[in-house]
Amino acid sequence: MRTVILGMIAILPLAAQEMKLPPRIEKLAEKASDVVDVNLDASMLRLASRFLSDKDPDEAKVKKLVTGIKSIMVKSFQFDSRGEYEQADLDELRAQWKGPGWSRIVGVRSKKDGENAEVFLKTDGDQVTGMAILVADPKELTIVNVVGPIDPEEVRDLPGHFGIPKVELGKSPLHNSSKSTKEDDR
Amino acid sequence: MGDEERTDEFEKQLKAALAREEAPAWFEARVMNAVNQSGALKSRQGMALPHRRWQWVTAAAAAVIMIAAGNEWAHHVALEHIKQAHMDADQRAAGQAAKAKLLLAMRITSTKLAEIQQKVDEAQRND
Repeated sequence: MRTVILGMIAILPLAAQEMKLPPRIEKLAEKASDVVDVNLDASMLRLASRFLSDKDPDEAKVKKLVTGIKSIMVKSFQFDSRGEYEQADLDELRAQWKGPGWSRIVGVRSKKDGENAEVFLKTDGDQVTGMAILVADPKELTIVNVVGPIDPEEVRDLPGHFGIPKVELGKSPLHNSSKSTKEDDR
Repeated sequence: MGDEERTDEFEKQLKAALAREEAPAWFEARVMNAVNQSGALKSRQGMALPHRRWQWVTAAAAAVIMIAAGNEWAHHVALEHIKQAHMDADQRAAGQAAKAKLLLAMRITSTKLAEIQQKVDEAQRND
């Protein structure tokens, strides 16, 4: 019994950061034209890290970045039409990032384009112990949840050194995909 | 000497020669001893032959068992190598898949953070 209690106490901080996706968001995959769904727990991250080369500078950087991370979840949906997801579902997500230690460090909202982007960080003292990103565009919804120590600036600076072009607004692979969809609509 | 006398004398000698004479006591003992020794020797020989046969049978069986065990071991080692190779291949495939997922996750995260940074920068410039 003591073991069980100790085990529960040990996983409590992790469980507190684990994100629970609203069921309706889980079902968005059925409506989406493109879906990216990545879930990596600690064991998968360790396995992946073993296959990241120390000789390749980009992979070595990623390897260093993910050291100590307990889980990474990325869900990205691209829709052909607007309004496929509910604002209530986004509020449910945001509520999970309002707990102790969490703070919203960035919030960008464009009324004109209907684009919303937010970054939440969980801190423990000076150390970042979790990060969440919510990007909600009319035809795109992206949710990122990282549990564990992570440096957002280092992650942000990856693209230029990561074998993909440095991101310009509206020209990321995801946005390109959206644009082509818009052109298709015409 | 006349013919009759000679004949009598001859008969006496013949009777004496053919008369049953009791063997001396030592003779029986020696014969019995010889018989016993002969029996023991036969008995030993009779025992020794099957014993040697069993030795051969045992050696042959041991050789067969050793050869069979050797074959079994070689088969086991070969199987283990094949299993290990499959496991290595499976683990490599799982590792490469996990790596691809991780790189994809990091690219999307990085891209989104860069986009947000750019939006913030634009907003600040507009202000």
